Amino acid sequence: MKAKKISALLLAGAMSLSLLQGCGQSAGQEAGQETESGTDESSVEATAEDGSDEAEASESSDSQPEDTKESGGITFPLEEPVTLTMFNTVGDASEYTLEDSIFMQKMEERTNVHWEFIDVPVSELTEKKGVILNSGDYPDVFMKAALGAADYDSGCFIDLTDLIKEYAPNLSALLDKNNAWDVYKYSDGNLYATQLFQTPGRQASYMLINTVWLENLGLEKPATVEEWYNVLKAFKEQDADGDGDPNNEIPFMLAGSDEYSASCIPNYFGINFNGCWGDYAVSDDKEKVFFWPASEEWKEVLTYLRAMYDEGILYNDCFNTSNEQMEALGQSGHAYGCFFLRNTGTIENVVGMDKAKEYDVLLPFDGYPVAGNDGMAGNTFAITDACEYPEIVMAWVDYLYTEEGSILARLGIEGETYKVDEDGMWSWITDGKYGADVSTAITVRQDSHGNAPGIVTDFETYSKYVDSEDYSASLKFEYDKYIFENDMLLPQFPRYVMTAEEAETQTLVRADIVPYWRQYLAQVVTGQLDLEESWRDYRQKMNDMGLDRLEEAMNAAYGRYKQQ
Amino acid sequence: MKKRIWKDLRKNWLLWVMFLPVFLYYIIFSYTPMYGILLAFKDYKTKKGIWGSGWVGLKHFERLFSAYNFELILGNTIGISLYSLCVSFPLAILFALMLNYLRLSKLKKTVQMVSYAPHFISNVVVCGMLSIFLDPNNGIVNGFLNSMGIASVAFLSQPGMFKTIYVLSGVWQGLGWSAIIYISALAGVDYQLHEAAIIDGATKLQRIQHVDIPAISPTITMLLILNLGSLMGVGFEKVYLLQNDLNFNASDIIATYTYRVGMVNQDYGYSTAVGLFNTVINLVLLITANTTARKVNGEGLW
Repeated sequence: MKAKKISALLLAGAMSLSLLQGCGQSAGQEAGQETESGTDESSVEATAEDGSDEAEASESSDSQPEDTKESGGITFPLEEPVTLTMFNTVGDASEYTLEDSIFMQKMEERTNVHWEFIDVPVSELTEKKGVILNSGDYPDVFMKAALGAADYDSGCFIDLTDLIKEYAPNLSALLDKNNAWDVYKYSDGNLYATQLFQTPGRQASYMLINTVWLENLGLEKPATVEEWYNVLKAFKEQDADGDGDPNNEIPFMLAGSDEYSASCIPNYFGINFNGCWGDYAVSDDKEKVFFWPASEEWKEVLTYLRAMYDEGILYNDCFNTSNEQMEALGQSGHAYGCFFLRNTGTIENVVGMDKAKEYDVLLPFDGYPVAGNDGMAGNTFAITDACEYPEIVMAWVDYLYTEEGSILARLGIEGETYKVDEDGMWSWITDGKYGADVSTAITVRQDSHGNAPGIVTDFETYSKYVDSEDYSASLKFEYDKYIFENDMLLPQFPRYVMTAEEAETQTLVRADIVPYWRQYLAQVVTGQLDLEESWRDYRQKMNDMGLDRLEEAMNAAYGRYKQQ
Repeated sequence: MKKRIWKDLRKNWLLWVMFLPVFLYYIIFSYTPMYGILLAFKDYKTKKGIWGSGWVGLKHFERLFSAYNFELILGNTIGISLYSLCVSFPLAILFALMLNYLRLSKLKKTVQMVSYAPHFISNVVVCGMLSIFLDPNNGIVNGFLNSMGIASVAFLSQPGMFKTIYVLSGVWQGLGWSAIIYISALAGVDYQLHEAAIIDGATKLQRIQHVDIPAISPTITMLLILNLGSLMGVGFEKVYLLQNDLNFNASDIIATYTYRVGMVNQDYGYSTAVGLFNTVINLVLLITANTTARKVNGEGLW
């Protein structure tokens, strides 16, 4: 009896212990981390002090190129290594990590800053980011994390204005030059993230058409909406790919989200929009800005898409198809007559290597110009208040705003990952240890999946980017050259600055209105709703959700912008 | 009162000690996190923490009740779970009764095992299977329909079919599992009752009606009350995984809305308010069901 009692007691004790174990463990780990960072701290403080002395010394004596030297009071490489953590976005199917990239290895050699990465697949970005930020245990830096109002509102990020001025001379100069200090300020007046500066260009995805199919049917490249519709209709009705079966073509392909979806179409129908990730546009007379999914032009797009869906021109399961499924479908031999390609994407990735060269670019219909992009993007790199050495981080990232750093980040090292020919054109090295083909070699890029901090130099972009192996890149190069030379580029969507109140309105209204217009698109195109009958209700419902308030806020901000 | 507890504690201390882990479990994992409900009345900012964030009163609830899609998500939540309850609840009882009358014990065991095996397949896999089987172009179901001369149906793109797909696949997943409790209750029925009924010339249906059903009716009542209590708690995973822009009108439920607001938009205060509203309705339903059951046939959970 006694033994039984004791064993029961033990059992109960063990059970309650195991309950508590979870908490105990994490507490222990935290303690461990604290001591770790504790040692870091002491070592770096020493470095920072030494560093400033050395910086002064080096300024007077040596003749290093300006951009590899010190910024502010920080001299790289640091005498004692520092370890910091970074939140970073990677591709969904990507096996490549930033940690293994030649760029990060070189940067570590150069600076003695070691990064530990939290790599998050792009499709889980929003959720993971929110959870990590709000758990209170967040990393020092968020890179390529598509940060927005919700993230900044958490209060976890620090204002970078003074840090940039002091420790990032290159970035600071770029912000001065582009007059962009205010543009990227959050509505509370703080600047939370650094930017990306590229050569100005197009806004977003461009439409591609299968030229072999056009030839097979004796058709011309369509230049108007009507012609486009008729060409796709011919793709559907006739045996465009010439294999004897008139029914196995997919004349027009769209996929569920963003860069492959219907939200890329507006520019082709005469809307000067802010890209397929946004849903704003500016009127042709530049008088006002508006939410294009509520516009009459969008209604016209819907009319065409509806007809196309009905006649089997548009892929019938397109609203159920993810971007990855679309790529898989294309690579498994389903040929597309027409589809959208995002700027950083490759045709090979969508239709497979052997068919890629069949495609050519379509310009917006009826001679409408191409929506332009001034090449700036915000929210690329932000520092949290968990970071103990924001000045080191700022000096670190400033290197990416130099030509040398930018090339290291995007191309790697000359002779190892890329080569330059006698005309000054560069191309990937595909026989070396960094990949046997372009699609592998390209993974040295630090900026895959999301806007990365830094600049993109002319050397890297279209002006010199030619590569016979990389068909997508050379096609894009020709296309960009054409629209540039023919003056077909519209200015960037206005970069107005909203007040805190306007920004709050925008956030609240968009939370309802954005899922709604996407849902309406799917319903109308598939015929669940009749466009003519439901359009009024659709507009009315959007107004109920606050469309008026949203457009009012946008235009108030735009009005102030115009007066400047 | 106090005295009694002390007396009991001294006498049955062993039982109290054995109760301790359970007690701790509920305190730590169920009651402690409950202070998070405060978020529903606050404008939550991570940096300020739960206590530090400012009070906003019922602002989040006002926003919820005036939301354009409030009726839709409420209707879908109740619709899906009532439909699910009406179909799968009686089916599980029927299935248990049928199994109970199988003579061959090997067959009985096999059927039982096969039927509850799907319970162990994760929801992600089940939804993957559903979208592959129901694919309008290459799916096995449409392949079958086509061979019969019927045109393909895009099942998952039709709002009208969403609830049925959800409920029927749920039956396949959960039928065997939910029947287990009835099977064990039926196994406890004294066979002498059946023998007496057989001697009196009762048919199988009459035996079910007059012997089995009364025997398992406490179990049925209890499970029904429990099910009603979780009426508003439609499983998030499956709905979220099967959801797309086309069936959105039929598939957007409170749980997916909470997820969108909370996890995607990081609007934790509002998200908590929506969740709290859901829980309160659940609690009301549970209490109502229990009171009704006690009044009607004298049995209840408490």
